[in-house]
Amino acid sequence: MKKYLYIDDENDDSIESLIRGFNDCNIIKVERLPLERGMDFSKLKDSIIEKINSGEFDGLLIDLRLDGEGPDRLDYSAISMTSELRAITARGDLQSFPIILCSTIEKIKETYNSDKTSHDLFDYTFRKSSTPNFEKFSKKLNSLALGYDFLKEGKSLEDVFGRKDLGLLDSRIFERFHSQKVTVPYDYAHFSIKTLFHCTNPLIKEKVFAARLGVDIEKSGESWVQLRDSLFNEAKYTGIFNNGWDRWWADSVNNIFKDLSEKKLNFLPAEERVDILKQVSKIENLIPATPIRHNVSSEFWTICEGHKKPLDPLEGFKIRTSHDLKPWQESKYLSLDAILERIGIDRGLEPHYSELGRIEEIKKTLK
Amino acid sequence: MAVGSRFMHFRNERARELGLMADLLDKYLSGEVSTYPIHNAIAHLRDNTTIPQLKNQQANDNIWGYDIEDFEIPIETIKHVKPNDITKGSASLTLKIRADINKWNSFEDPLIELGFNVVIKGIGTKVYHFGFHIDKHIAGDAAEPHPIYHLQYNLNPTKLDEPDLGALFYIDTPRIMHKPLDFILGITFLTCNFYPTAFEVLCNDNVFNKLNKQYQESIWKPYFHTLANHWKPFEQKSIVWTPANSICPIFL
Repeated sequence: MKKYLYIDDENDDSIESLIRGFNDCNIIKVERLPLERGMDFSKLKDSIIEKINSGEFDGLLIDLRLDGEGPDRLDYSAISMTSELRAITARGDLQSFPIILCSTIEKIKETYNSDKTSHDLFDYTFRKSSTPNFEKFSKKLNSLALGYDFLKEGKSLEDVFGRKDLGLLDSRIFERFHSQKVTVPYDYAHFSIKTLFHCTNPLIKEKVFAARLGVDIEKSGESWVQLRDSLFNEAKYTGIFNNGWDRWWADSVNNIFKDLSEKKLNFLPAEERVDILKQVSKIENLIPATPIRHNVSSEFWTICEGHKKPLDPLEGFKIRTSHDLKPWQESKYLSLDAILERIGIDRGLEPHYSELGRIEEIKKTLK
Repeated sequence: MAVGSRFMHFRNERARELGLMADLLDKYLSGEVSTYPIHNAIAHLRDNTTIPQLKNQQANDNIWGYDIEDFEIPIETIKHVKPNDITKGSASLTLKIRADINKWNSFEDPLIELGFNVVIKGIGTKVYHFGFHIDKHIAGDAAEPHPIYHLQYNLNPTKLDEPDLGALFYIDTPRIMHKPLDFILGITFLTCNFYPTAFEVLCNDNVFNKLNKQYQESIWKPYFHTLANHWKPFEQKSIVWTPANSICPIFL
């Protein structure tokens, strides 16, 4: 079982319950590294290096504000420690290992969001909350540790991303791996999670996948799972970290549907997509998705990030993002209803500034 | 088996030109169009193990081509459309082109197969569609005699089993003689018709003009010279109806 070293300046019950939360899932093991108040930077760094080098630990879970209010507080933050550890691994003096940031959403907003360069240091962010989904996060942390192991030996890009015809996709996507002389596991991890998994295209997440097939996931229940894992199994992403992030290749989904039906998905209404799928799969209880309030099109291609329901992008409003999209990535959208009802605003979901004029115009027609 | 270096050199050149067009679109229309489908086509052109197949399954080294799936542009001319509830529209191009490398820049027909399919979609109180294609006619495709390169309107472009036809008389619309369009000439055609501000911006760019001139030379010159040759003798000095873009604006 993969084991994570946990560093936090707090040492109260909340920390104990966090560790228990992970360990009770039996997917990964988390163990706290005892700190001393004001512990010297080098001493902590050496201690982490020793634990990783011994092979006892596979990754690091580190609290953002080590210099916070906790009884074991230090004079530096996770950002400076992680930056140093990344530099040492880049030099090859220490094996690469996953580093996961751990903090409350408020603290992340307070410090991390204003310093965008530090976004790149961590493989993943675990948001401390009252009820974390420990199983989901354990799977992701386990997947990261397994992925780093897999990357220890040189692998071809096709092996890493689990696709033989990678060279036939937009070359800009993977060009960084051809143009840089040395690629460390962290490069793959950072790219996979931030550029592939968290964005739309060339991979899509399950809700977008279902939207493209016109299927209502919730109402279809087990029938959706059957369809997903039978006819479209070939489209499943099988590359690195696939056991932590379920994703599908968008072009493969289109091609499978075209081969099955001789029709193109994108201009068919959901009902017709589902009729075709029912006919070819013989799965009876697939239910087509219906448009969100104020929308009319069921030619779904994406989801409303507020409602997490299928949406035709032509009826959607692009979302404001903290980073520029790569030219091959598709925008994420909000539906008019989510904007009017302010759904998702607590998750930072707001329309892109270029959409504000159009939203105001539409609001006038609704009055 | 890998494609020979002479043919790959040709394909790499065409890939480079498609890349230049994609760069122009990224430069001037960033956020409005996605060049992802173009770069997928470029990757296929550059891959020396991929030989594009003809409809009859034939595949030879000298055959080149590419597929572009669902390249979308916004429709800007939405204010003049009917029904007037439409508030937003887009035009989506799916293009399949197959050609013979040995016939490029000659007076022969450079293309073997062409499918330039456009689906136009508008959203108002419901979803509306319209479409057309510019095809190369393959012998035996239809009973009616028609021009080899033709534009035809498609009244059920989404191929719905039961399209909403209203009072429309659904019949094969005339196949109107039209010059062939590859992706580069096609972008000029599409922006000119549906996205005029983009057309204007692109036309001010030297690279865009050069690319258009080059592809007009390769694809349109044999087509129009053959037509002009119908009225012999052809005397250049007697041509007073100039320039050609006074007849059609996309003769850049």
